Amino acid sequence: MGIQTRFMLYFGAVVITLMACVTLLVGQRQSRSLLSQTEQRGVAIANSIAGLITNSLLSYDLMGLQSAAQNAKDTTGASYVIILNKEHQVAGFSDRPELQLTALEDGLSLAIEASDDVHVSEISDDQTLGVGGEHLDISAPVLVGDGNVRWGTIRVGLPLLPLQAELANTRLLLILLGAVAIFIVLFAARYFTSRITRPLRGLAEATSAIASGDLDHAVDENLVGELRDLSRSFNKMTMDLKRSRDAIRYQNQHLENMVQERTAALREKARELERANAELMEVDRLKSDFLSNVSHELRTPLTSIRSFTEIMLDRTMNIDDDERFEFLDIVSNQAQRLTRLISDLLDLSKIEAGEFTCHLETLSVQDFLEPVRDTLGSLAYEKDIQLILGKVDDLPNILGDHDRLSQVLTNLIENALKFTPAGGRVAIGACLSEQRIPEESADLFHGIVCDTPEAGEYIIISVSDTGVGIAPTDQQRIFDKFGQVGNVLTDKPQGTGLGLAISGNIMVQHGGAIWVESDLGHGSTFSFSAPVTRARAGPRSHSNGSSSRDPAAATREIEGTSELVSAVLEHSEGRRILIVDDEREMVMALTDLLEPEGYRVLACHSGGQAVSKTRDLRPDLIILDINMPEINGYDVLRLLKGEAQTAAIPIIVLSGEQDTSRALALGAATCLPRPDLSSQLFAIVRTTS
Amino acid sequence: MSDQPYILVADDDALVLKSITFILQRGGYRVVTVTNGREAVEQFEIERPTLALLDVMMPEMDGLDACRRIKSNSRFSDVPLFLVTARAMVQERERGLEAGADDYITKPFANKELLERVKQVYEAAGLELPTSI
Repeated sequence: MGIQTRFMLYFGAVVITLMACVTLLVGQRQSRSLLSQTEQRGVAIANSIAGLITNSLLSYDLMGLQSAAQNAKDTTGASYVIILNKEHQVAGFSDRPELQLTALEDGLSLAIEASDDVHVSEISDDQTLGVGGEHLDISAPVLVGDGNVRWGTIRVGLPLLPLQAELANTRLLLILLGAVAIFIVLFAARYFTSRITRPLRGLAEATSAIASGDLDHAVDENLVGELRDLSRSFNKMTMDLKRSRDAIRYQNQHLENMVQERTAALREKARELERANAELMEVDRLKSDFLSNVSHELRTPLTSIRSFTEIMLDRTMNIDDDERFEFLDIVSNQAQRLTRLISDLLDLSKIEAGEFTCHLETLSVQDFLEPVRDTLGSLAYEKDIQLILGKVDDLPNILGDHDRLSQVLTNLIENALKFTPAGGRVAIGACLSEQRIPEESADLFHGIVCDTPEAGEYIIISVSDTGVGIAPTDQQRIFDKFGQVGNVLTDKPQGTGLGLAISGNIMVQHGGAIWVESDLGHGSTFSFSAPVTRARAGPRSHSNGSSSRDPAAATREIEGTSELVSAVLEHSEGRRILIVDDEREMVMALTDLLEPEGYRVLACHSGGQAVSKTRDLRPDLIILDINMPEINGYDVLRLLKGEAQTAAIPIIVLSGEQDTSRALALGAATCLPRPDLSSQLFAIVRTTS
Repeated sequence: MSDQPYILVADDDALVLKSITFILQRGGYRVVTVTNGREAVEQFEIERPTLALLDVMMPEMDGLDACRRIKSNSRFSDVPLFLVTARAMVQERERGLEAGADDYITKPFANKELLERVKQVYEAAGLELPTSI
């Protein structure tokens, strides 16, 4: 049973009890007051009758008494009026005149009998009251004379029925009022209790919600008094609970995340280790394969050399001159093959050590294509293969290492000549491309490509042959070390199997690519690309040096260079000048400057070279750059000035530094600022040369 | 011809083939040359050799493979097989012997050593040694 119901039951019971008491009290009080009113009226009636009947008494007129009784009853609404004499005999009786005589005879008993409902409680000489039944019986004395003589008694019966009806009405009204009061009280109780129980119910719901884990359940705080405080405290408690629960959840989540991260990291580590292990094993396997291959490649030509040498040494073999010539040729070729293999192996070991570097400079395509073509022309002629060089003279310059690119081209042409049968054709071509690898070649790319982003234009140089071609499955493998392909038409390839791997490395260093396109049976095309530079190429020693040049006049005007030329004139006693500078552009610029003046210029690009060349060649003058890697200009100065043979050679130091004292202290003839290659005027000099 | 003893030489290097052939022929032996393992196996079917010299690294079918095939054939399992290889690792030798090779010659070899071993095989087989040409 809820609090509200209990409250209402208690209230109801209390109100009902109160109302019952009130009804009883009020009923009693009203009944008493009504009775006394009626009694007074009865006494008044009796007294008035007593006054009226005095004459009739004197005349003893019974009829008069009778009519007076009758009359009084009719005018006052009394139930009955009885006039009794001293002996209690009825002298007059309203309504029942026939009873008069008998009453007189029998006295009061008859009167009682006549009105059976009238109970006369007390009959005295004085005023007497009788209550009971349906009537209120009132008696009053009838006095005669001076009022001192009592004649008899008048008894008046007043009806109680209207009185009772009025009492009943009052009671009904009270009951109604009570019902209304109960209703109102219950309603009020309900209202007030609900003001308490509703928030309590809210709290109860909230509590069970929280118990089941829902902490978002807030309680209405719009209440009064203690309930508001309670709700606030409750909500605060919930909030705190929620906050700490969220904090714990967050912590848990955080911990879980950390555990997951750690687990993932550990797994990743394990995978990495596995990978590294696999890589190491792969490297180990490759190394051992490589060694095995090197051994094979070294021993195979050695086998021929040894066998044929022994054959020739063995007199019992009885070989003739033709055979001897043939065998010596084989031995010589195989020795060359060994030499090339060893040189390739050295290149390869340099690549592995990161020492195989390309010195990129501005190169004319023509300048390196033509010499290679010229060198290999005789080999092609011997094999009866046409070697064609396409038109390359209107192409822009490239940024490359002359010797390394020549090495790549030589390798490709030699391969082409090797795999092309007599009567075939090997064509060398060059073209300008927007891409490092043309789109038509990029789809089925087999080769090696630099992974740096493309920059500008490229020159693509290709070597096409009409040879046997390469099977698609072998096209990528040939770029691996010892990835050469044996074939059926020619003898086993005489290459080292390292050339393309080395070429690949060279082209990657150039920021280019090298690749093959081949149709088995219809020849192959090997191509490589090198980046274009718009700078002008310096003249190469092997290219024709007769180009008209008269830069001397302009050169002398350049800041720093005129001083240099005069310093050279001052210090040099001969014509042989060694220029030491790791920057090839500078060497070329100085060569351009000094050769027209009639000097012979030697150049080297490192401090180490400078010392050994000076010892060997004893130049008449040295122009020395200070800022070089490893052995710098100061070291060179110290070394050369410290040796008796070289100490006398004058050295002009070119330094970017302001302080010239150190170089001079070490024995430099003079110390000049390094000419600024980037200056506009120098560019003009370079252009005019 | 077919009942004459001969030596089968398999090598993919033309010059090695040429030198071995020259040495053996001058020693009076009959020589048949092939350039890979597959051809060597085929030659066994055509004519049973007295001895076979197989290079290890050859295209199409290498010497080890050819060695296994020949030795697994009961008709030829008694033919002496020499592996001739430019691979000089110890494990290579072991692999060769596992494949059933009777001997293992490392390149480069001395001509006399080669001739000596061939001679031993012929003597063991009770064949008449050829006279040098």
